[in-house]
Amino acid sequence: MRRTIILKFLFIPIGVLAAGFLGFVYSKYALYAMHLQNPFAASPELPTDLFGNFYLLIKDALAGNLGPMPRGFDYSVADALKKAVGASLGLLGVVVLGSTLVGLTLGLSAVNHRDGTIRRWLAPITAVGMALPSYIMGILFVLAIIFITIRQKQGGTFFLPVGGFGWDEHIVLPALALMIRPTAQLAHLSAHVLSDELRKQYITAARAFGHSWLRIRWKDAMRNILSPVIMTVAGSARFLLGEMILVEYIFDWPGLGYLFGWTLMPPRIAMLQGFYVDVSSFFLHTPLLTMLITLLTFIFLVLDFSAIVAVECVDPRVRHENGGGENEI
Amino acid sequence: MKSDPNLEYVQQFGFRPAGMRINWSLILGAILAAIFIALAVFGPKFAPHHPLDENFIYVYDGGFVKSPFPPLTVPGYPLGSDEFGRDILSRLLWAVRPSLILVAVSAGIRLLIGFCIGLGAGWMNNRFSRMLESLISVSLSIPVIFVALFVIAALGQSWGLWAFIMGLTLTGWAEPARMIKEQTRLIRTQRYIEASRAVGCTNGELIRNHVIHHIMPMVWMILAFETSAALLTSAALGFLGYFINAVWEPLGDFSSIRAAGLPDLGQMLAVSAGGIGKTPATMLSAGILIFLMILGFNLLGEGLRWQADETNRSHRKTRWQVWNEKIIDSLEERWYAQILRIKRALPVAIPIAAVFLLVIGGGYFLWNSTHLPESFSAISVYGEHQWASAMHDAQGTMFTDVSGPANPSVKQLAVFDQPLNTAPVVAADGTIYVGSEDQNLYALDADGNRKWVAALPDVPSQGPAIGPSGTVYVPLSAGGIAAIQPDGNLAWVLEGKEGETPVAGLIVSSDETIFFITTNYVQAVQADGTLRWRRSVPTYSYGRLFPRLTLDEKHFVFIDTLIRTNDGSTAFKETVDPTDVFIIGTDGKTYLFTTHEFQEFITKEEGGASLVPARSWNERVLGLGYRTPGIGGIAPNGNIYLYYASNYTGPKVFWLDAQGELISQNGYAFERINGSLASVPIGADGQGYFYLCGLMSMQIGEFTANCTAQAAKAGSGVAWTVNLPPGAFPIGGVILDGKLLVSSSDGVLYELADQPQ
Repeated sequence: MRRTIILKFLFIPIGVLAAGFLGFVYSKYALYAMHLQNPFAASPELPTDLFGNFYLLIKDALAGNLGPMPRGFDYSVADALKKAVGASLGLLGVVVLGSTLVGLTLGLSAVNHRDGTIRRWLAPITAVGMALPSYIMGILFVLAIIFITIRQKQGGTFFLPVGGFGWDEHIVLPALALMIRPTAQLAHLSAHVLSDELRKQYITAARAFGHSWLRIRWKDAMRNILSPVIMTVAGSARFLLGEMILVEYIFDWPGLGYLFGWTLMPPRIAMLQGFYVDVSSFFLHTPLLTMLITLLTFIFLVLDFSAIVAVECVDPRVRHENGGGENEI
Repeated sequence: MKSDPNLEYVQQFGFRPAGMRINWSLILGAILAAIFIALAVFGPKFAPHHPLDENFIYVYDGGFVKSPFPPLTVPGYPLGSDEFGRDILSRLLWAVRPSLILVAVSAGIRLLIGFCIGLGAGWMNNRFSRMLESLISVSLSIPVIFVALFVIAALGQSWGLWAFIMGLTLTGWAEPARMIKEQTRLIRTQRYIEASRAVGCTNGELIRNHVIHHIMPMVWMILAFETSAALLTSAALGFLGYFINAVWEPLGDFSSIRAAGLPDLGQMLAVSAGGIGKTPATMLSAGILIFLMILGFNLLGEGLRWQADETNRSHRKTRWQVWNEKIIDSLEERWYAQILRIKRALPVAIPIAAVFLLVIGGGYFLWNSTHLPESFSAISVYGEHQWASAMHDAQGTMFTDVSGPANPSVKQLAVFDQPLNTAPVVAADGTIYVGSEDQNLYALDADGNRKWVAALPDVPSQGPAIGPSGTVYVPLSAGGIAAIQPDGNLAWVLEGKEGETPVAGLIVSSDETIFFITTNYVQAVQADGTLRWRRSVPTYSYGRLFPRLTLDEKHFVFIDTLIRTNDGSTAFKETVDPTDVFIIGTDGKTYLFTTHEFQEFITKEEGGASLVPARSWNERVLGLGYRTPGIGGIAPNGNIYLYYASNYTGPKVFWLDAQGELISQNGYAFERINGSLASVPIGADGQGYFYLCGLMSMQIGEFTANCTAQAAKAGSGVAWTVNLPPGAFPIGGVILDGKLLVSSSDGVLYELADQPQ
């Protein structure tokens, strides 16, 4: 396990660079393919010296000089990325924390500790939660806010903002929209693994030794179910990065998903942060796309690595396998 | 607390007692999935409106309602309409089919790929299996929506639907592969595998006889989960603006818009996302439908997983099982063995066949729905004449399936004393009829020799037409018609109304009724020369005047007006844009030709009619300037030919493919005479050429004209240009096999024909 952890750690910079290079090559070739399909464009030339150009881009990125943003914005790509990383990681953190707390609470409280059965109310909640895409939740929230505001008397204002960035009430709706699915997933998983765990022989033995249900549940069983819970949380966080493209788009939240969406979405005139912008200039924008892929890969790999380290720390069985457990014979 | 007796039963016997729990997930999931499959199959049949049927204003007794109609306010629109007045319920009923088939095909492909990779990774234990495992891990760690966006953004324009399937499956196979791998690995470690190996079973036999038999029950569960996952991703892609059934319209180098075609759920989300405040019903209904579909397939998958768990199965035999066993026991040993073999093969064969059927059948449906038939023409010329009227047929398609000249040279086929006044027409036997300024109609054979000359009471004008019986009807400049029998005898003459002159060529219906348009009137004349009706209509047009008969002959269209053939009353008038004209495609459908699209004219069973966008293109890319729709048509292979004319500048001809993408375009710098453009569009042929002639320069008494063929090939498409002799002034032309005939005001009928090798 420790060998895996070391290997994973060493793989992070290699993986990040490889993903960045792939993104760079993709944007160049996709632009070339678009030129080929355009009957009015001049004859396109095949991208050349990809390694050299990628090296120059990385050098510029490290120097914080990635050029200006496409038209419509008066700041640089580096500034936009810095802002986006902060916005996305903040939102991701809130969502992961919130969904973990709520999901675990729901899942654990649904398990009847005496016989390990799962209470019936959990199944419909998790079934509905897992079938609700975050963007549909986001739209429902926006519609609900609009509906409530319309029902108010004249001059009524949105009691929660339906768009824009801010570490205040602005984060409520995007966070809630993103939370539904991972919460349901975690509740479903934690309830089932705890239910399975409480039926194991060592639980019967612990009960025979006179341990209280409280101790058995929260100390013995809980430590053994944390491993799948952590892996699920890490998986949910990765999944959330994909969902953020849509939710950040709905709520005009200037994060990585928001920028990522515009670099790959069909070009059109669109409302961006309160202004109409010709977003066609974002489409396949090489420095932006390359750095976005690099950053997202970095976040993926760090999440994966953190999950493995956390499992190593909390799961007694894994520690035992590695020879570091307290019950080692 | 009292312990659960059921749990004790499970702990004691290893499975739950029969009837202990009802598998609600399976029941609910199966019901929801069945409903959606039924909607996909029958939904469009129950749609009260066509999904593209626009209705901007609903008029009722007390007033009117403008679109978007709110739900439950306008009769016939229970869920309301979107901002174009399109019925949301009908759109939903149409949208389920393409969405569900797309995700089912993607899920089937994911399953097939995942099955192979998972089986390999789970069964083998070498470097290759570890490589497959790493591939599964890497694919699992990347959200499918990222990959789908990458693929569709790069391939979307040219790959269309296949880009979606590729995007959804490129890494989407990883989850089925993981499940199959884990199950295979579990089976590999079982004692019976070890025992089978010990008695000499090969790897192939072990996989065939044991592994696949154990994995197959998982197929339905994985298929349900994958359908749900693919639906989630495809709806998200739709929300971001990537959806199937779309028309991609480039606006600039890298700027494009997508215009909606027939609806799918992703498209409905995308289109309604822009006006969420204005049309919440579209977004809500599409969103709820997507949620219910995902929920249904999730529950189905969960229910199947629950059912596959041995401890959840009822071990009490059902009546069917008992009956089945009795039958098998009663059979002789020979049959018994065969039936057992079939019983053993069926659980493997059925899922494999179902998945292949799903992928191949669904793929064919999707391919078929996004591609038009290779070649189809609903038009036939009455009397099977080679070129029956100035625009080839009574429908005015200007399309003939013969191939015109590929590399012609010009010769004088026939020379006349006076200028020719009409376009030629050609009968089924090859006889060419052309009218001259000398008040004669000439009949020529294919070599240009005169067969006969018929004297007319007046100067012929515009285009004559040949009826199904072979009689030639010639419009006269005083507003009348002369009928000449195939042997050259004058059958009858209908006097014109005073002050009227013909403004368009004639057309003749299958029952030999002649439709004729003069300065202020449209009139129908029977085969015996009696006037059936005459109606006053405005005849000013920006485009080329010509009546066209609809395929069912209930109407004929003239400019932007639909006129009933039985009494001449106006059935429909398009009032939005005066430049629009009705045309008939070779598919037999009636279209309104606007600057940027063909809108199909659909008559409703309950009365009334609607215009539904059918083929769209980007008018800005065409660079039309002040040109307006002139002649348009759909060739049997689906390609679109467009001729835009202008009172200020030369015409432009375009070939577009069936999806409205530009194939070729060219502008023609023809001269003008007395304020009118000296340009003669002739028509399109079976090899994909559009032919036209025009006056290139005009000096006193000395005209220079040429004829051109523009092919449906990339670029300008100009296949050839041939100059006519000095003094030629084209009046009209026809396309025959390997040649063009062009009548000219210098009194010559020119033949542009390929030279024999």
